[in-house]
Amino acid sequence: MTDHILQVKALCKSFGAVEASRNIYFDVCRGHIHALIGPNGAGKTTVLNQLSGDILPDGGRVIFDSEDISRIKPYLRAAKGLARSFQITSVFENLTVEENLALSIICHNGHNFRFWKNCLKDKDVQDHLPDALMRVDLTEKAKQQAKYLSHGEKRQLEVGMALTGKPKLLLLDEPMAGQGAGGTVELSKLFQRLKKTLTIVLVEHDMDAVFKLADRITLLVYGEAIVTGTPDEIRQHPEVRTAYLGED
Amino acid sequence: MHYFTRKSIVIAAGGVFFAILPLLAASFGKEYLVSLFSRILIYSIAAVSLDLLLGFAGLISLGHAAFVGVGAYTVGIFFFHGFEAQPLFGFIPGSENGLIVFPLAMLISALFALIIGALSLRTSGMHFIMITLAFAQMTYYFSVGLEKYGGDDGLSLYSRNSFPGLDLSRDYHFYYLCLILLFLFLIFIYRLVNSRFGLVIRGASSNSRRIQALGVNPYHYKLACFVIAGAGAGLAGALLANQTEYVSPGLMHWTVSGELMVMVLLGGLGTIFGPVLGAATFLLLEEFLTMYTEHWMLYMGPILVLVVIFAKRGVFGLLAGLERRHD
Ligand SMILES: Nc1ncnc2c1ncn2[C@@H]1O[C@H](COP(=O)(O)OP(=O)(O)OP(=O)(O)O)[C@@H](O)[C@H]1O
Ligand SMILES: [Mg+2]
Repeated sequence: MTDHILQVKALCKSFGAVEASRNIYFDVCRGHIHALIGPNGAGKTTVLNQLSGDILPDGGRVIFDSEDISRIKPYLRAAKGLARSFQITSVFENLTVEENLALSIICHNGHNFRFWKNCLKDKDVQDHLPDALMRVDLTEKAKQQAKYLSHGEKRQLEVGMALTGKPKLLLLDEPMAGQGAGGTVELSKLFQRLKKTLTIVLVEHDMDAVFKLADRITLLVYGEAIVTGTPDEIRQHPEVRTAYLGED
Repeated sequence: MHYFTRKSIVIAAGGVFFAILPLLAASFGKEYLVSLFSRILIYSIAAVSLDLLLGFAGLISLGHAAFVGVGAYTVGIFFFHGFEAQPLFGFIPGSENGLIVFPLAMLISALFALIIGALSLRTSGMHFIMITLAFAQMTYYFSVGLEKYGGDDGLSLYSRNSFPGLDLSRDYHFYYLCLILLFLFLIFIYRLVNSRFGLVIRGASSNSRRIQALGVNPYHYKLACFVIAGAGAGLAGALLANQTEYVSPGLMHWTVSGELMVMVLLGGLGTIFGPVLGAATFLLLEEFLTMYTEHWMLYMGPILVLVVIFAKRGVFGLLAGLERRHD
């Protein structure tokens, strides 16, 4: 029996007349990079939001590490080891880069009802901050306010924040978008390295990256999970060719 | 090097000024300034505590005066029961000992803030502003209804509280008590804002969705912040009751909350030390303008508008240079 870290069962979600998720099933194996692909508006972000808890499903279940988390709050899911990045970059704009990362470090290390000691001198922060900065290549920008970063750098920062908590499952919504060719390669390498320690659900439009990185791919079209398979299987699948890769 | 930034020089200069003000006042024969500046120090404590909410936690509270009032009433009520030798609720003895009633004033204000905050923080944005205002008005009318303690007319204290080693009836002693308490409060808030707790608070106000994605429920942190700010306002209230030897519902009126907010904006939102300058500017202008006109707010208004438009970080930002909020 395979070890599934995440199971999605019969997920349904409508926004008014738009059925964004129609009875979606898929399983994610521990240690895999599992890609969600599909055309614009297919419902990929909606699925991620239901995994992270930012949106509650109308029906169906999300099972994470054999526990039903479908209806619990986002911060509780995060505390269980689920981290995410957002499609629209979401960092703490008013804080510096190092404060952003320090915040994600302390959020994962015990409580924060500590009122006196400077947070940057905190032991957890001192232990992990240099690595966290290095991992996303932002050491030189440490003292800069996040709002002055370029779009690509914000993305890197966001991925860095998602990683600091040593999550078990990482949900990434188009991390490559807005990255130049160099950034995409860097991120690909990073994800490849990470695979050893965690599982990633990756929503991405960059097909080269997806087919290179992913162990499994699920294709979504109009809110339906049409097929799940290995990159080779997906490439061969007739529906993929018509529905997504733009061939008739 | 690091210690001689423009900002630290402004702060140090301000500290020296306040420390020697009584000497200056005495040498120029203007002793009344000591009492005016005591008032400035007291309002500074209240404004700094409000800045914690407005400038760091992103919580626009329009009811902060309620906690000032609760602190003042605590001092007043305990004084009354001590004076009349008639225990509160039949079993709590009154007191005029500052070492007892000051912490009590902070504690009871904190309790009020806990209750009001627990309910208000379930809302956000405009609703939060309105609900804090509503609670403050409720507290106001509650104090009006306290017939036993003078109702509408308020309650007079016949002397200031006693502190070991101090004689608060002497304005110089009282001034330095205010100064020391403000100093300690500023250090505390400065440390707080840069602590782990402070970082979470600033993060939660910057991006609530993001902080939840990091596994933190911001509610409890915001509530703790609200309670701390309430306690600070309570301390200011206790001092205010001592200065005027009088407490009345007027302390809690929403216009007082508005004035505190103006002090924060005038001094510099989210600058910790700025609200001290804000309180000083506001109260000095008030003092000065009321010499000439009853409608002094007519002149205060445009000044405020100019500051808010041209100096994002208020008077403090102007003096200290346009530094970033967090260094
Ligand atoms: N909050 C919302 N309210 C109403 N409709 C929504 C909402 N969120 C998503 N939708 C709709 O649901 C459908 C799926 O949207 P979703 O954002 O999940 O697509 P996506 O696959 O992530 O697309 P893209 O590749 O462009 O990011 C779309 O038709 C969208 O308009
Ligand atoms: Mg999307």
